Amino acid sequence: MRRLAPLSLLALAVGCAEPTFSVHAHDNFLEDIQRTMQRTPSSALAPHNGHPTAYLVTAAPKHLVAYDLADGRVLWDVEADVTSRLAVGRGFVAHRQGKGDIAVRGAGDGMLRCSIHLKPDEKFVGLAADQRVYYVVQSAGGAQRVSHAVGSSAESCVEAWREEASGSLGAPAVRDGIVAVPFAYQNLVFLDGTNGQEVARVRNTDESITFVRADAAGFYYGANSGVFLFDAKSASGSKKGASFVAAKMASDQFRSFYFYDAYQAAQADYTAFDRNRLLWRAHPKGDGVEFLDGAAYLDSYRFFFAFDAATGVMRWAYPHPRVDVVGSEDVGPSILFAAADGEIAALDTKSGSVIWSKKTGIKVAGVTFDADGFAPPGGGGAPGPVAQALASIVWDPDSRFTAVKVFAVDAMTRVPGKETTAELVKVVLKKGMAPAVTARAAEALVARRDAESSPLYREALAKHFDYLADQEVRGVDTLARVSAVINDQQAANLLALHLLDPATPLPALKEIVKALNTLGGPDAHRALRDLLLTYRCDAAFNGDPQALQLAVDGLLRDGGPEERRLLGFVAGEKRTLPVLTAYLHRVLAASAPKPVLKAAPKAKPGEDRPDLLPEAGKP
Amino acid sequence: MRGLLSMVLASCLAATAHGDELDGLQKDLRSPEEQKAVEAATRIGEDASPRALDVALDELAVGVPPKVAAALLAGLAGRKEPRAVEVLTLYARHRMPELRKKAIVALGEVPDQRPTPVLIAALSDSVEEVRAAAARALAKRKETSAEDALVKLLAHKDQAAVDALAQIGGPMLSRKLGELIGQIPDALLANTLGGLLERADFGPDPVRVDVVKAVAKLPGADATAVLTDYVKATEKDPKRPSRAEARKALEARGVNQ
Repeated sequence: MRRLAPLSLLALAVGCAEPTFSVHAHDNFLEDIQRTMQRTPSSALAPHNGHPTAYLVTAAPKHLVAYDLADGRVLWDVEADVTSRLAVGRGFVAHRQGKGDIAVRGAGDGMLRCSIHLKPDEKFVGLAADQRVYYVVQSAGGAQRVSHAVGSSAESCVEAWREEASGSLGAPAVRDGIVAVPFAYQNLVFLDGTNGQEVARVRNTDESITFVRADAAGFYYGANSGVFLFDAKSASGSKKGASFVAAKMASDQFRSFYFYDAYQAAQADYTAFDRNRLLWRAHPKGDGVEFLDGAAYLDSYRFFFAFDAATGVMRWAYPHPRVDVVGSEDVGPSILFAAADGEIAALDTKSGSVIWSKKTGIKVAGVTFDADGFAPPGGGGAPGPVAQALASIVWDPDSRFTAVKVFAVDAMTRVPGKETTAELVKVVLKKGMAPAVTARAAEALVARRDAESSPLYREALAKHFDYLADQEVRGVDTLARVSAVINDQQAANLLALHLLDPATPLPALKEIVKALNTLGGPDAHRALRDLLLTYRCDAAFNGDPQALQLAVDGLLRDGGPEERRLLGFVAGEKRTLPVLTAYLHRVLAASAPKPVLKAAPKAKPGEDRPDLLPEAGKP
Repeated sequence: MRGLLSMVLASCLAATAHGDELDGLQKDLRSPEEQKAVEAATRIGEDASPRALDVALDELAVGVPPKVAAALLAGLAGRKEPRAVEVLTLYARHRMPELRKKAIVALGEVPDQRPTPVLIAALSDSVEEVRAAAARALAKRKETSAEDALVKLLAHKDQAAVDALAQIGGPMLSRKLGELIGQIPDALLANTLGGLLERADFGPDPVRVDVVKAVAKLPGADATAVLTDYVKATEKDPKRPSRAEARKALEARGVNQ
């Protein structure tokens, strides 16, 4: 907390506070925070307007449709140029309309109650609603950015108050008449919704604040690093001292997008961010905060993943067939989503199964759910086989979702069993798979060290390129690595054949040689010798001679005098690639039999040098 | 291969200048100057002596630069030397297609059965020229066991299969090819069947009738040309049922004979 001058404290005591958004206002003041919390007690999860409702925005022509989820019917459908996400208030909804207006409509009929006209130089940042409409705009003119937070009547749209801030304000959130506004990326300012007066301020000293969100349990704020609960501990202003929680992701493929960036005007509208984000609910627990059921959910276009927020372990996965999901929400007992073809469905948060679905036939471009607590019957079952769901995601023919597929592969690595190994092998061998997916599957396969699946690897290794059979071969390098880590001696012969197969890609050779060096045996030695002699003069290996060099290592380590003689010949032959010759000289010298000192007969005068004799039994 | 290598290594390590021409060539062959080595390899290839063969096989076994290998393999092509099979088999799987092709050509001339599986395997090579060399070699060897593989090659629209099948195709071939109608260009099928009809040893005539019927099913100028050529080629034997079948097919196509 910033040190306050005695005069300021006096001013506070008599209620003469700094203006709203003043840079001199005190922050992280425990009493302010506690007073504000008292004004915003927790309540039960429930829709704002009684019936669970999905507000669907269509693209062309632009309509706003209210769909009653409980009754499964359209409540109303009005033509509306919706250009922001909807804010649902008590008895009304609000949205930006066109470029310069905010429209307020009755929640029961969709009819326009009134409009707020933004000034020409004002850029819309975001809005929230409860009894009133609250919105934030930025003024483009002038050298310094100026923002305004505004409260307006939801009946007449008359402006009740307007507070100016130097710098950036973010999209607001509201509950119980308290409006929370991110300010200057570091602060969260709480305003009295009736008059705009600042009632509390949180200033984070070690984390930025790029969003604020309100629900029945309280205010949450934070950035992409995680979520803070607004509580007394917020006064600490630090991640360590505050009630903070972050979801552990099962993969590094996704950035953790906890909520829309309040400062990004573009994110005030329905965008791709609605289709690729984390879904979560949190609640106070003890003196901290935790995600509801300890789970976080990832919505990525057509794919939903539930995972343990503490460990990252996948609980379930759901691939929505064919059609993109345009928006979703964690409403507590279920995940609600709307697909582009108008299907609205609910996934049980426990099992990931579809427990409710309606096909509206509406072409949906964006959706806002006012359906907290919506729980259709049928939930609570056990999750289905995760491996199967993940495999279906990996094999989904839609080629846009490489990151999702890599994510699915990552998640598969945590699922034990031969079935998962078999799926990973299929991914590695599959033509047309995105390279990132193949690479991740390869790493996963090696890391599993699943020796029980060795017949599967050998079956794959037995296949070679065959033009007549339209058979192409992929993943030999990966299978070589796997065979080596599980020490599958029976694979040596198969790998030896691939080593000398002209269809084996050059980069794969070194992994095969490494594996043959590990596995050893006569087949391996023969193949290594043939490779070395056949290609020792081949300039194609100049760029990457590692396969030949590794073959030298293998022959030198496990071979006898004959191999050493062969290597000596290759090293001394003028046509051998210089890069290989240099390597051979180095390793042959390093591995040369060490001479041992043998006690010489008593030296005659003048003959005092010891004899250098090779070690017994070595050449 | 290991025994051979030991012998070869011993030979290489013991090599000394003897002063005769072959020794001189062998020395040049090992020259780091590529052009000089290639010329020496070419001359060794032209040398029909057993010693020259030994030199060529030894050099190939211990590895030479690709251009030198190409010259040595070209030299082996005319020798029909069974002793070369082991080395040629190794080069038939070389990473460089040109060397594979030369090894296949040389293997095709070796008069024993050991090269056959290698040649049939080469029909599955990724490079068309190598497949074509294998198809020609198998045809030259009248290797009927390659018929199924060659039919697959034809199904892949490889032109090399046309001549090869025409030369080795047996009585059942027309039926197998009939199954490919509509899957591969009619011209390829027509010319393959036409090649069978050109062979004096193909028959008996009822088999030729089947072939003619298969050609008759094919539309297009190539099939018409095959039928026309067959009618002309069998003028001396006008009562042949296969000729009559061909004439009937031509009439159906409205071709004046």
